[in-house]
Amino acid sequence: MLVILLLIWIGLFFFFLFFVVSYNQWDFSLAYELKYASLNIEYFYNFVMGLGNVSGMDIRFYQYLGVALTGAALAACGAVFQGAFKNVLAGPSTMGVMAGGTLGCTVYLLLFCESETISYVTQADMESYYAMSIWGRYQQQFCVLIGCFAGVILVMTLSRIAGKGQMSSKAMLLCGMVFSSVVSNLNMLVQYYMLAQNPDDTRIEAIRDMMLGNFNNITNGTVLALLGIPILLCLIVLLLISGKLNILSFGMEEAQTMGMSVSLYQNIVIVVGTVLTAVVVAFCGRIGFVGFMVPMITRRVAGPDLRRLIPASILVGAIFLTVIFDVAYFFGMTDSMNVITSALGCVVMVTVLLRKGGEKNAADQRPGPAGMGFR
Amino acid sequence: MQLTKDQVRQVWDSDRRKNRRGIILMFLTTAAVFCFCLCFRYNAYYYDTKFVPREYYTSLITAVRLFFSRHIDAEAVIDSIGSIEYYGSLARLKITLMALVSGAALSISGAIFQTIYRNPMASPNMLGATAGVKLGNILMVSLYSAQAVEMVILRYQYCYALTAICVATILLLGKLAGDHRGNPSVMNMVLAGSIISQGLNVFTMYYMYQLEEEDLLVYQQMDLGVYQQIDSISLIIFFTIMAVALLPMLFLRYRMNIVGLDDEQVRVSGVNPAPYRLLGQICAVLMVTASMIHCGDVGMLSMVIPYMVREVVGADFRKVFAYSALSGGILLMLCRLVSSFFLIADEPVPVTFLLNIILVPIFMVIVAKQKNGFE
Repeated sequence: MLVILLLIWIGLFFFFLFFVVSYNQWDFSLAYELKYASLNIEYFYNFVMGLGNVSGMDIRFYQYLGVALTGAALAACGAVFQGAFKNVLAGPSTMGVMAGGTLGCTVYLLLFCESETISYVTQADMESYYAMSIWGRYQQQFCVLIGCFAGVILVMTLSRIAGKGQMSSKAMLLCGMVFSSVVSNLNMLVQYYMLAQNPDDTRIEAIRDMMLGNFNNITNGTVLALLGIPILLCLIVLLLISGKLNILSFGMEEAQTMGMSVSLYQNIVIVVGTVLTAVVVAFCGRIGFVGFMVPMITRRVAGPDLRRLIPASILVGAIFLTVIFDVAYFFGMTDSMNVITSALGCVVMVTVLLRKGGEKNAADQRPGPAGMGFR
Repeated sequence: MQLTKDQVRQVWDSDRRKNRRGIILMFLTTAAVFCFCLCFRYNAYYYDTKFVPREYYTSLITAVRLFFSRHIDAEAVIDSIGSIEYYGSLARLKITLMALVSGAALSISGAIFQTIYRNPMASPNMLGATAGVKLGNILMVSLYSAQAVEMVILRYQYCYALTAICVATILLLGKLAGDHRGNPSVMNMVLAGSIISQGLNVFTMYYMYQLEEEDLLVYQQMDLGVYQQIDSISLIIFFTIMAVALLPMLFLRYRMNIVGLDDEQVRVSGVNPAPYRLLGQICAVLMVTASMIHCGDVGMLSMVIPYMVREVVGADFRKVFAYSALSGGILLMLCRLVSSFFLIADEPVPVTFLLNIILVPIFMVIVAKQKNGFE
């Protein structure tokens, strides 16, 4: 099955790379499409062989690889969180990672960035940009990474306190929820002050890119490497420990009885998942609900065994985000990926809740407590 | 030992007297805070003397005299000139009254939801009301740009329609995900609410960043509650809605106690809880939406205040109703007062920000104190 998924992904990758046209360029005729595709194939050949005249094909190639990596990272993170915390709703967007990243971006823009209205890029600007070190060039991304980690640590600590020393997944979700609502409030406030000071502030656009998620950053090999290497490392770690994580999904006490150090593996899961999401948030902005939807769909095919589920959801995630990206490319909405994925995610969520309710009705015939009372 | 009828009556009387004393004390406190809030200057940071009770009441009396007299009362106007303008004094009165009623309505609606679902997390804020109001506001601004602030009736229509759809969807989902006897599972409902709100907020954000900078500023002022609408039409609509929603709850506050019990116990006591629950929820959503249209995103109040009041005075809905209404009103009035005092970057601090800063730590303490982490 994995081989089939891999083949599907490679096929879709090249198909979309060569054939997808934006709807306002295409005259809806087959001849134009064929000519466009053959040109694209020629450019791609030039790019691989190192000849000149690539006509933007290198950028598209990097972007497509970045899209696939992003989808894989988010899906794997979601699958592992859902397995390890035994909760279908645990995922990168509900656990405070993305909110922390947003906070980091906002703080960076507020403290280290100056308000600018002029957006011309001069030759001197370009030269000074290329003379910068990696730290200088990707300051914002590093701040977002730090923000992600701070957010996760905050949410984890609070939920530890709430669960009296134990990790309760529901308390964690609630803390994450409240944290993200607070962050969105703060974000609104910062934007308000920026706008009130200077209506033509370019920093608003940076916040917009953060919130709506796009892949415009990935234009060269350096960015792809910065994005890809941590993701690949984390994915390998996850694949190596996936057998152990299976035990974790039985529940904390059972896992402890089987002779496993629960807290160690839980911490590994949290750190790896955070790195996966944080890298994505740093370079592509927020792309919500992928880590929640894809494992959900994959679990119906591959079953709950994490040894099969993790590689399957990595590949399905890559396929899924590639398809979504190309639909967005066709409709010219690549600047706001988060909107599309969130709309899909809400629909999937509703169906999942309904199905869960139906299963419970069928299985549970004995009367239970009617809800939670005060004290 | 058997108590005689007289002894029972005595105990009941003394209990009632004690309750009445507490409520009268609370009323007096509220009235005192109300008068205290009136006595501060508008935009107090510009002036040396900030607390001006005598001048304020002179101007208020002038305004009232002008309102009822046919000709301009020159003497009274001359008296009030140089202190506070008589026109602004009425505006101050309207704003403070509106804040009082909004705070009361918000906390009462929170109390109703918490009583019906027996869970501190269930509040209209969490169940989609905030997202609906935000979406309504952004649609208004993107359709009518800066005029949206003035078009109160249309704004009410949009916000009410969207809020009703959101809340009804989420409550239905909770019902469908519940057990076979029709008891909604509150935790699932809250999580569904949070995820659907997240999805809607992404749409809000998408529309928000499509706006021009000036319109964006207008929307943010609406959402943060920087300015309050005090023209006569919005006053009439606001107070009408509040009366329509508050009066049934005031008369049914005895019944709401029964509604909060377990289903079987309610049946035994010979009451059909369904209509009361429906009416309570409708009234709560009506109140919350109206107060959020005028005061910005202050939904956190409806979650924290009723819980704290319940901790202090016990679970009797009659007491919770009175105490939480008054304390919510006091809190919102004081927040509006204090927020007009401070400046950040030459702009007054928005009410919602101040309120969230005060309430979120308290909410976190509530989450932490809950046994079993809300399980």
